[in-house]
Amino acid sequence: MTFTVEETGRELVLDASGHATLMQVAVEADVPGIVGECGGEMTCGTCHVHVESTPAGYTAARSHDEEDMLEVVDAPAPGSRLACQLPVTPAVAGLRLRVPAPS
Amino acid sequence: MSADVHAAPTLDVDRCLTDPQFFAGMQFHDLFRRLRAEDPVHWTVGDYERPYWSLTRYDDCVALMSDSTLFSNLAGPHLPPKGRDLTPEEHRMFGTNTHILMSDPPDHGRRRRPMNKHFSVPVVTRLRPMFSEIVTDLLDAAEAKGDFDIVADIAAPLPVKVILRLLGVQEEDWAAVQQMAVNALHSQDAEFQVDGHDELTAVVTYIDQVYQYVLGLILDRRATPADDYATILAQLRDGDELFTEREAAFMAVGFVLGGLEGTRNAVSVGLMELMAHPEQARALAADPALTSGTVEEVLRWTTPSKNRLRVATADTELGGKQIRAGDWVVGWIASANRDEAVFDRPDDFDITRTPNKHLSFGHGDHTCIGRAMARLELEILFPAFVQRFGDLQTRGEPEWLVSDNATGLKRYPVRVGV
Repeated sequence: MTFTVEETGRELVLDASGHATLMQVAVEADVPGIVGECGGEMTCGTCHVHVESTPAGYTAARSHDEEDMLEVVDAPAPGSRLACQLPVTPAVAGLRLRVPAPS
Repeated sequence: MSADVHAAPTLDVDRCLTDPQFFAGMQFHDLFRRLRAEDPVHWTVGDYERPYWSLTRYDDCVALMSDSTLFSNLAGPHLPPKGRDLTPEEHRMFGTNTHILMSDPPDHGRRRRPMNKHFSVPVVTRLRPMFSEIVTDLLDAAEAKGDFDIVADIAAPLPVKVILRLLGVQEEDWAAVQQMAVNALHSQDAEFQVDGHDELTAVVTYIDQVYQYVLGLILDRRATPADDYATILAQLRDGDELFTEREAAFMAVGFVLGGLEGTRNAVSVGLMELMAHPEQARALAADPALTSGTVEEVLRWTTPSKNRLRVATADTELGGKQIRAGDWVVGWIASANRDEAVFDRPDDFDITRTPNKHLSFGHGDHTCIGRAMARLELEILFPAFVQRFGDLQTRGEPEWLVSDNATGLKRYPVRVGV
């Protein structure tokens, strides 16, 4: 899976194995802009990403609580997600995410 | 488990753990160090009305706060003064099963989830200009005075100006609301005991005063919305249902009490430590990148709220001890934050400490909802303070608040260098 950090244009190809969510993958790899302060409780809003492309077979619906938090993040977009709500599954390898630049 | 803790010294340990005066200062950490080593899950039978389990290790405190079903919040979030049970009327006034701090699953989540986004990092970060302006004004005023007090001039007014302005309390009422909060939360300190109330009665009485005040705000904002947190809280919904007046008003009570108390205590102790470690203060003044580390270390070091109370809802085991349903279990997070199994050199104040996974905001479902606001206040204040005042001299000893929960100063007079 690939994280593109908008602020620097840097592209990071990461191995998600051993993690439950993409927030954890990003925090482990020190992806700039992803903090995951609350650990995945959807209380902090610090793991906002834009999903750029989703591989076949990868699905993860937004919950009401996630949509609620996405109302207040910076740079919301149609593909906005909280990375803590994106599970690591066998289909995750082709996922492309963008970390929006801080406003 | 160690026999000697249950023999002769037990009485002293337990008397200490049930004596608010014992906790005025930082000496109590010596006792916690001993308990972590000798009896980390300690049945405490001292001078309080209820005995309770004292947890002093990090992992046990995390376990306590991680399971809100097994360990209930309905007796209150902290060890109450004198360890006394609340009466049914006091529970009503305290907001039990209405306030999120005194709610269990599933009601807790139902009440908390709609609030989370309003306290999230992106929302709070947008408040930075307002917070910065308040900090600059406070530092200007302190500098102009020359002789000033760390608590009265910085630590206490900072959260009053931030929190009460955000809530939408009119400025002429700030002092009165601040006094209600002090009376509610500092009743173990003789200086703040009023009207002959017993310590717990004072807590309940003054929380009720705060409640009555903010209820007025909530009802007003339901009729006339404004651009403030009172309006946000007044309009909270659980699905399609508006929160009850009591639920919304108790959210505002938490906003006031949580917002005013923890920040004041962290600021007072944090500034004292920075003054006591001038080399670290100079490093922070020169390098803003040290700000986050400073904030987290002050939070760990101070642990502005020392304990978390839970009630076991079923028989269970913690640290090899049998806990029975109905037992009070107190997680001393002030001790957990100095646990040598987790923190290297735990008794050193070190703004470069990393990692620093302190528990000062709690853990689990009840993790402090206002933590992003508190962090932002501290992030703005600490570097600005050390840059402004590189040459402060003390004019007297710091005076500690007497409390088995709050860790903070009452006074610390200082003078700007000449």
